[in-house]
Amino acid sequence: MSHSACFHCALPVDPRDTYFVDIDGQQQPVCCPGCKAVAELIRDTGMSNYYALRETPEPGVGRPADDAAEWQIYDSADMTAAFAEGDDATAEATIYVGGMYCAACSWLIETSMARVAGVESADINPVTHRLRVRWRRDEVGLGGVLATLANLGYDPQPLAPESAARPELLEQRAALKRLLVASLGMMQVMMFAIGLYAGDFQGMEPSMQRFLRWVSFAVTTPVVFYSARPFFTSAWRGLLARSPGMDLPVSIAVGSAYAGSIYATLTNATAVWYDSVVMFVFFLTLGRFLEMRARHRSIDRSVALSNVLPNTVTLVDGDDRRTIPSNQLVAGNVVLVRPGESIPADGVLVDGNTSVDEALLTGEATPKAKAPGDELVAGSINLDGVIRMQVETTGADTTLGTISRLSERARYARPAYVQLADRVASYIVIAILVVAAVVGTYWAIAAPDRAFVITLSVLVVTCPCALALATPAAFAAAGTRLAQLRLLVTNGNAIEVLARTRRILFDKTGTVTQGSPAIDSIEILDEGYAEQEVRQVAAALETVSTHPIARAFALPQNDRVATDQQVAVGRGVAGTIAGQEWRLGRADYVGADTDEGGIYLGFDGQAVARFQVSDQLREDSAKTIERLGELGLASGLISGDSVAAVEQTAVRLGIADYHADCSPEQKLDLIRSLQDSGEAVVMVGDGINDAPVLAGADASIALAHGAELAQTSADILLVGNTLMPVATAVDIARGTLRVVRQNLAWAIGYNSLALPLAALGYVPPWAAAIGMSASSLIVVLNALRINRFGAS
Amino acid sequence: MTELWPLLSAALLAGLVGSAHCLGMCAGISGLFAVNAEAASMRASVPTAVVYNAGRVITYAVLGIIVAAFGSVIVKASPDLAVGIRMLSGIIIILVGLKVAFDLRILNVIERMGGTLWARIAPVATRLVPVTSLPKALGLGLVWGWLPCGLVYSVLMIAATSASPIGGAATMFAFGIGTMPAMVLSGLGAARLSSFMQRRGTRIGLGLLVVAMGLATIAMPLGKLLPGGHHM
Repeated sequence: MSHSACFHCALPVDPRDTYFVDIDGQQQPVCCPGCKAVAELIRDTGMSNYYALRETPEPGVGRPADDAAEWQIYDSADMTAAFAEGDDATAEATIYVGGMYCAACSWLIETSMARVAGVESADINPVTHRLRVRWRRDEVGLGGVLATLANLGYDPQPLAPESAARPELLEQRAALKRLLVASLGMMQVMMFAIGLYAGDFQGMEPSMQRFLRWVSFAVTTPVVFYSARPFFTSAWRGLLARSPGMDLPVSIAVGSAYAGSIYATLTNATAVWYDSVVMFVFFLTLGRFLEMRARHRSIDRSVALSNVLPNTVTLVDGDDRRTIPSNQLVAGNVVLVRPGESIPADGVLVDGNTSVDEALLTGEATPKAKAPGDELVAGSINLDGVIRMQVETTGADTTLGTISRLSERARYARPAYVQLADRVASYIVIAILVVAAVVGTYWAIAAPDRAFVITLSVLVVTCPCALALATPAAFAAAGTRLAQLRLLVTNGNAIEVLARTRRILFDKTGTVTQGSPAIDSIEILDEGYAEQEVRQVAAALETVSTHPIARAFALPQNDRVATDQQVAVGRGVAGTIAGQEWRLGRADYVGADTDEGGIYLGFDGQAVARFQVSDQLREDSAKTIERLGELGLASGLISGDSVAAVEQTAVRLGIADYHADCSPEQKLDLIRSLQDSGEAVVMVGDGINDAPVLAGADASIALAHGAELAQTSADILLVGNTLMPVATAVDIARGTLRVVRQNLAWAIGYNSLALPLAALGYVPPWAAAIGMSASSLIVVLNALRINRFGAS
Repeated sequence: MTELWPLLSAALLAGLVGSAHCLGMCAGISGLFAVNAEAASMRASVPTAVVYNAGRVITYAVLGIIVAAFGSVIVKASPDLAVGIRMLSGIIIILVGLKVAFDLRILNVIERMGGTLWARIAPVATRLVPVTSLPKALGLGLVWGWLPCGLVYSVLMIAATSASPIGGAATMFAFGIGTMPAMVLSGLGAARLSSFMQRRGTRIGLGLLVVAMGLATIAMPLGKLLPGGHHM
């Protein structure tokens, strides 16, 4: 065996200066006493298998060798383009490494990767199990990299390029680097500054003082030109657009303090402000970074959603089976999905029986049985059977894609509040610049030697950063928190309405109930018809209706076919069967003499049968209403169903205020009259049948699933099968508004207190930097509290 | 007191640059933490990483006190040596700066001396792993500080020349703080974030800054010796 590499750290071993360590009876070479010590410690703590594991994978974990060909597909130009980024010579990809079970694995992976010819770098994050690897294209391919990982016994899965899918990741990485540079710079400059201040009191060699100043200059320069660059560019952009943002006073302060310090260093003046500069930049960068994290967290979730899709799919073409990248799937393709794999696209099951786990999309943990003809949604997991499915929609058009897109939109929804805050901040910036100019002029006359420092302090201390962050940070955090609870906010104003509303109206079917009604009983009113017959007539009529009730009537086989069907929204459905015009719906629609509740079937104003249909309540409906009551909200039930059905539901839920027999117009009128009496009304519905009603409310929440998501127009979409998030959303919205008020009060209070003090010359620049930054940080941290709101 | 600042600065920079380069050796440590890789979240591992590293820094500071106490005894015994010691201090700082800048294996000889000391301490470490609690993490950090490491020993020599126990503690503390970014980030599995510290340019730039500190340390006592040096 070669003695060239350290057994522990893999660095080259100096042959003249080699140490040895006894691992499992073998003398292994190490490069230094440090490695020797660590290796012995690992051995003595019984963790020698750390070394064993990293050398030879456990038998059985590795894939069979004949699978190696599977990875070759990743060498193709298509696949490389799909998963790698880079230039002509080198490529870089992120690979999720499944099967990592301890930190030793990261070591093993990085070291093994380093040994692959052509691999330039490999960094693994043991926490997220993501490997970032970079290779030279002419020496090795993505397939080779993956095969190496597979041979080690892991289950590698390349992820679509982060930068393409997640520009915000690049943004975050750049921001973190700036923050690191600023913090390192601050550590250094602060140390020199303490030395300089100590020198002021204890006396210091002038040469020493000059030395420390020059070193401070050297360290401050990259902080100003690298870490603070975004402030300068943003300020410049603001100037060009003639709407000065809060970065303008920041830039002026940083730039002038830096320039002033250089001047003072050159002229040996009494004071320099390098410490204030780095501190100011560091705290500002930190504040921005935290605020960005708050904004990005919701995306992490939506990206997590798209990561569940497989990278490759097995395309079935006659007898031919091919593996293709899943992004090449098109509608009409038939694909084979094995147990344990995830469904790659929305489509229909054509062959095989199975059950699928749709938890990701609906929050429903129970697997759903699927038979040929059933819908399958992308991102759900095939549990039992080998199935074939026909692809209908792919990529961004799938339910999964829609949820991701809506979450994305939620992030950019800028409530009126935020827009107002932006405008106000712009005026405040101008005001600050004017005040700073006035203060500067006054001091230039009164005490010229102090004018620069005081003006600097005024600029720094009054930076309206906290004010500008107060509202958006809170709403961003609220959007994130709500998305975690499967509430996708598409209109930011809804949060504000939810916070102040005292009245919330629920639709019945599909909202407080599960929306899967069943026929309880059939009463024949005209002896000339058999039960079988009226069932079939009703089923034929209902084929066009999207109302949840329609599902109760569906029959797997039906001899009768209806034509000319027409839906009278909120009343019933009509159609022609065997030349006869039938009606199915409310008693008055069908023309029954009496209304005993339920759904009537008839023709020519004659009732033939009456169906009693019932729908199970959602498990948490009653609890949700109770919780809303505790929050001081009056819940109402508003439905197109018969009085009997609505009353029954209302009683079981403990709702006193219920309205039955309502047409959409009547529902809308009710909302209007409540609004006229000064109430903000929140309406909860299924989003499809009651779209106009939802649109009339001050804020609307729709319980949507599957394909309906994309068509649903509501301010907030509730994905899943539970109602409780509605109550939680009220809680979070109130908390958010509370935070906004606290933040604004703080920011305004701080600025109005700090400005006079600074203008009078009581605030040195470093204290101004701390004060202003602390103020922004308080505001952002206060907003981040929202992430914990609504946890039960 | 003010003569101490170049020392502290040099130690901090050495920690900053040097530690990023030592990650290869310390990769194994994270394996000693009882972190369930599946359940581990960034958030959960932050306290452990910070507490462990705090332990390390405390040990460094204690070591700094010990070596500087020896140094101060020598200085007190013969005040004439004071200037010489400052010169020595400057030379060592320059060597450390060159070491971290160009990854030189100078000053490695002293590493071997620590090996024997470590042999006595290692049994304590074995009792602390796997690290299952914060006190254990602190304990491991306290022990880990004694690990024979060329960089630590080099900086300890700087600390010794500070010639006052407080100066020694401060020097080693500054060094420990300097090592924090790389070590904490690597403990969190985010070594990549600190990788720019390993870039040649950064290393050489910061290393040369250390060398400048060394030159300043040498120049100051010289300045005092020269006539009129105070008014330079």
